[in-house]
Amino acid sequence: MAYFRLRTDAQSWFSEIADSPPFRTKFDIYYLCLIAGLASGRATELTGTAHPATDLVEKFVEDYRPASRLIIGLLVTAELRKSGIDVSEKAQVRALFKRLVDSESPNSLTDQGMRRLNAYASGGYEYLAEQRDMKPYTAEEFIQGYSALIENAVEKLPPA
Amino acid sequence: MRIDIAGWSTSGLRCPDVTIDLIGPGSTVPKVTLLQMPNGTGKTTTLEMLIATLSGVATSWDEKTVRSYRRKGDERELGTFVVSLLVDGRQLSIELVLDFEMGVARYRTTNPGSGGVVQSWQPLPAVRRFLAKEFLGLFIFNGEFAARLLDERQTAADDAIDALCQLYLLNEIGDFVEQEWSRRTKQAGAKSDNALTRLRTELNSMTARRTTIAKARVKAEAQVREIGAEITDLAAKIEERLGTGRSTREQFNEAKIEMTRTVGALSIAAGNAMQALRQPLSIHPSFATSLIALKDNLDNLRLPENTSAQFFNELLEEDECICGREMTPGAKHEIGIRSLRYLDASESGVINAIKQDIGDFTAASETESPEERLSQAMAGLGAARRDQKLARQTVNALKQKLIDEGDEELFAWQQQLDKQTKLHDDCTRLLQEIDTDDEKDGSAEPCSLKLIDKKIKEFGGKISEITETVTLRKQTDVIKAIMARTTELARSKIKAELIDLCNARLEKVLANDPLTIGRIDRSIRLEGQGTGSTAQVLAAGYVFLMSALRRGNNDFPLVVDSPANPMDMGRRRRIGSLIPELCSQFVAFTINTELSGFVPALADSTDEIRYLTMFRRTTGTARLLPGLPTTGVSQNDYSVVVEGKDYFMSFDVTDEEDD
Repeated sequence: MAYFRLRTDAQSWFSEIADSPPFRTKFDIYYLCLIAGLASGRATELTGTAHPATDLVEKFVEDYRPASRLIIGLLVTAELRKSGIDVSEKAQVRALFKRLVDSESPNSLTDQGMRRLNAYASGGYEYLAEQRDMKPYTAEEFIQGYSALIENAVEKLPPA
Repeated sequence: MRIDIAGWSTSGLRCPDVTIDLIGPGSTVPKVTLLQMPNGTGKTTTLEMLIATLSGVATSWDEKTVRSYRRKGDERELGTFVVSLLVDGRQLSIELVLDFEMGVARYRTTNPGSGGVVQSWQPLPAVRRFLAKEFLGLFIFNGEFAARLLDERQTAADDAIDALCQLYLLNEIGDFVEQEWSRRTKQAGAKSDNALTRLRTELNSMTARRTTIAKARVKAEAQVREIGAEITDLAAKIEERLGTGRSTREQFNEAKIEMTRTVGALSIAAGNAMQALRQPLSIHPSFATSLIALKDNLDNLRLPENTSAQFFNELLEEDECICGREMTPGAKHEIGIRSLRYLDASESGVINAIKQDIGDFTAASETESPEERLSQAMAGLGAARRDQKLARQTVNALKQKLIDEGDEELFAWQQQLDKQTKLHDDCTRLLQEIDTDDEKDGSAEPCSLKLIDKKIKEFGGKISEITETVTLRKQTDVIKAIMARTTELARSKIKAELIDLCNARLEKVLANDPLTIGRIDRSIRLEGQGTGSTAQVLAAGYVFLMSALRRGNNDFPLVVDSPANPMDMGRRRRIGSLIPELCSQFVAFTINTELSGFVPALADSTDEIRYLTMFRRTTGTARLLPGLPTTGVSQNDYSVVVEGKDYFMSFDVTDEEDD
């Protein structure tokens, strides 16, 4: 069964702030990395031993259940962009959905879909770590600067 | 192994020149020796010298430390302290010479049975492990040490168990099998080549690195614990000082209340901002744009179609196609393949749900949009951070003002707090680096223990393959794992036994105000209470230490300065009666005020008790000389030692009487 997975170096990087409010679960950290990955179009697969990671959860946690389908939608748009598929190419769009979406899965993603989502979270962590001079030491400072980092990521994204 | 202290002699040091013979007229050391020394006679120096002489540490002392042991006004260039031990009945003598002119220390060791006189600290290897400074601290100490066993900042109780119950022997087995494997790999000399030599060098270097890092970890962990406690104490002291006073202090207190408020407000603002961030559409408008484009195009493409993959699968069961043509095997095959391209009903359901959510979340609303919510939350967070920063600056400015107003002690505390906080952070960071499991391989001097262990295993595995000792390597690893697990289990079992034993004894010793040991976690943790009274703590410490001494198979002397001072009469009696039962030799430096209760109880418990009374020869003590007994007195220009119970019990000097 596919799990949401977070790189151990990302967990170390966030270690000063991850375990206290306003963060409620490790999924918060995963999500912030994921959004950064989806915004920057950066995906780094968690295969082999290059980037050790740990399983977090199998399902979207309560805080993110309302937005879960939007997150999957953003994954689809990111993958369309990455694969250079025009959204009007019906057969390819349909095939992409078949690769990523699985109604039977507890998280509505196929194993490949989860693998790609984890890859964006991994790439997003790399993006955040590169953009900041040092690891975050206070949650407030990190959160306040987060929107600007996402803004920069979207701006640098090449046109589809 | 049994170690007894036969005596010591000292000259030219801060403590008076004296020879203390613990054997006396008998052939064996008595079970108990009480050495009465008034305050100021050099009890502390004697304890320090005993440890320094036996452990061999003085060669690392700097000039200042060496010269600190010189007696004021004494012109002699050398100070010496000689300790005589009986190791399983055989003599061993170690002499420490402090050269005050050169500022250096040197040793001389005499092993009459083996090796004779050596001009350095050279006890036999079997004895050496018991003469480590940390180990000596377990049986040569002042009364405060027993209390340290119950101090949560210390690891003394755990250390005592490991040392006294010889758990290091299990480690030695692990080391032995490792050495044996290493020896066997070297026997494959004919096969050795450059690669093997290189691997061996790398393995040795990585093993040495592991030892260094493991030691650094122990040190850093202890520092984090101790400094953390010091920081708490300093912060509390500063807080208390700042909280009492007028004017600036009143402003300071108000500023602190404001800071607490802003910290709370900041926490709420950060929570609001994070909650807004949990809605991805709030983070960037491009997300909504791309999702709307996706939904619109799915609508345009009529995805998901009404026709689903199931329809084609059902069609395969028919004789005719929907167009009326016969369903040939070729047609069936092609329809089967192409049906996979279509979405089935459940997949269509997910896509419809995604479309539905995109539609719902991106629809124009009369209430504020997710983007507006995040924007407001971020503005609130920015304001809260500014307020908090301002409040902190105000507190710091007022704190500085208080210091500038002349509170030097407060200034010193604050400086110490800043220094210790930095050190604490450094140690914490070092611990994180040592414990991390994601250090990148590549550095010649890795810091992560996990990475070092991995590399040691890799090098060992490669050497095993080259030298054809793979099976032996596996066996070595199995034995080492068994030893590590055995150490863990033994420690836990011994702890449980010691707790039971100590609690049974404590029930007797502290009959009127019972206290129970709950667990041993680095230090002794009491059941249901943070700590006991000084006397309770001391009694619990003794009982633990003596139980641990007894639990090991070695016998060591217990040398204690002021063993009963803070105890009341009842506890003195109960501890006094236990001591002869629990250790093979007990040497106590006492003063007259702690004799009552303690000495009679000791005397009732053993016949082997020797009483010595010692004082400096000064004009202040000249009045004592005419009253000396006719026998049992040894004296020189600096001190007088009297043997005998009567003189001991009647001696009435608490503090040294100077000129």
